[in-house]
Amino acid sequence: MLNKLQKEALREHMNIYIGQAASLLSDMLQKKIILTTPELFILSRSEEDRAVYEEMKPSFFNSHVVVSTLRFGTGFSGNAQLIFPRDKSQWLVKLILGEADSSEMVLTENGDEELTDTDFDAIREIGNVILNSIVGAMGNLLEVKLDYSLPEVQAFYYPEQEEALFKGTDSHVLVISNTFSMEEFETDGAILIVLGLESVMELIEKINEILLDLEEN
Amino acid sequence: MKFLVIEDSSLYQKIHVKLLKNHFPEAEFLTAGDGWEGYQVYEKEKPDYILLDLLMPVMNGVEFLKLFRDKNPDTQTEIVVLSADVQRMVKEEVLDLGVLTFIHKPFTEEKAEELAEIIRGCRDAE
Repeated sequence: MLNKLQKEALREHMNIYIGQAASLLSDMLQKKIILTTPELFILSRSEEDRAVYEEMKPSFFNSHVVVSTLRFGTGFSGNAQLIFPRDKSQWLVKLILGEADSSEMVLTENGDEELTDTDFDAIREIGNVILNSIVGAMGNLLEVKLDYSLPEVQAFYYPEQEEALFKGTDSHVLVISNTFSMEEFETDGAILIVLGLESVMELIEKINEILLDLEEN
Repeated sequence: MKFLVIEDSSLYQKIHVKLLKNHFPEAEFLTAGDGWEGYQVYEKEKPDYILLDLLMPVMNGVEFLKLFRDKNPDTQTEIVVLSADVQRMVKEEVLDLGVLTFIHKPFTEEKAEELAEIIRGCRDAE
């Protein structure tokens, strides 16, 4: 669906947006965030694409996770998800609250405690800031105003939910996946943006316009 | 001086208040969890400044602003929008509704310092 140039252009845009989001996360956690370049795939429901997804998905997708979800748009529409391993989510909250000053303290914490209302509240706000930053930047690129739902936070065993990616109403799923670390605190995180076919086409059309502008200049 | 923080996250209500208190230790701080609750508190307390989130349940920040402007054309209360929304069109819409400034979340010590400067500037000009 995407040629090499389109994929490169879209990845570069997303790279910038994720970079901006990482800067906000750094402000929230008071930690330097080190990012990897995002992997970007547009997957259909085909067996072949399913195999690609299985190959590229982060290993923590086979475990318990905490997911913040932001739904957006009516024209250009879909949902964005910020996913963390469940056992790392509580120390993210501790970092936000300034309750964890050293990696030693964080790493000795038991990550299997029940999530409290405060944990959910903090994770919801992380998702709100990060996902708004990325999705809002896409809205700015497309020059459309997106309406958002309230961000939702859920904790679950990811394999039980990921089938929805392939069996939902959206025929295509744009998957952006990147991992990041925070100074001495290693964790994985992933961002998934799920778009319907029309929205994927709208995004590609805009990317084509940008590429055409580049050629003309 | 009286501040009203309208924010649906109770955790971030506390964080915003804490950051503002560093600059205005004598001020009174009130909180509300959505736009409608915030409007009720405004009517009762008439705060000097309102910190307003946009994405909230029951009544969102833009709906609050429209109601607020419609019912209180001569108010002296200043509104500061504090939102994660980075869309240009949203910022323009909110600025057209007459707010003192638009601050992107997260609200940090640096941003609280900048806001405190703006507020002190407003008060000096009065």
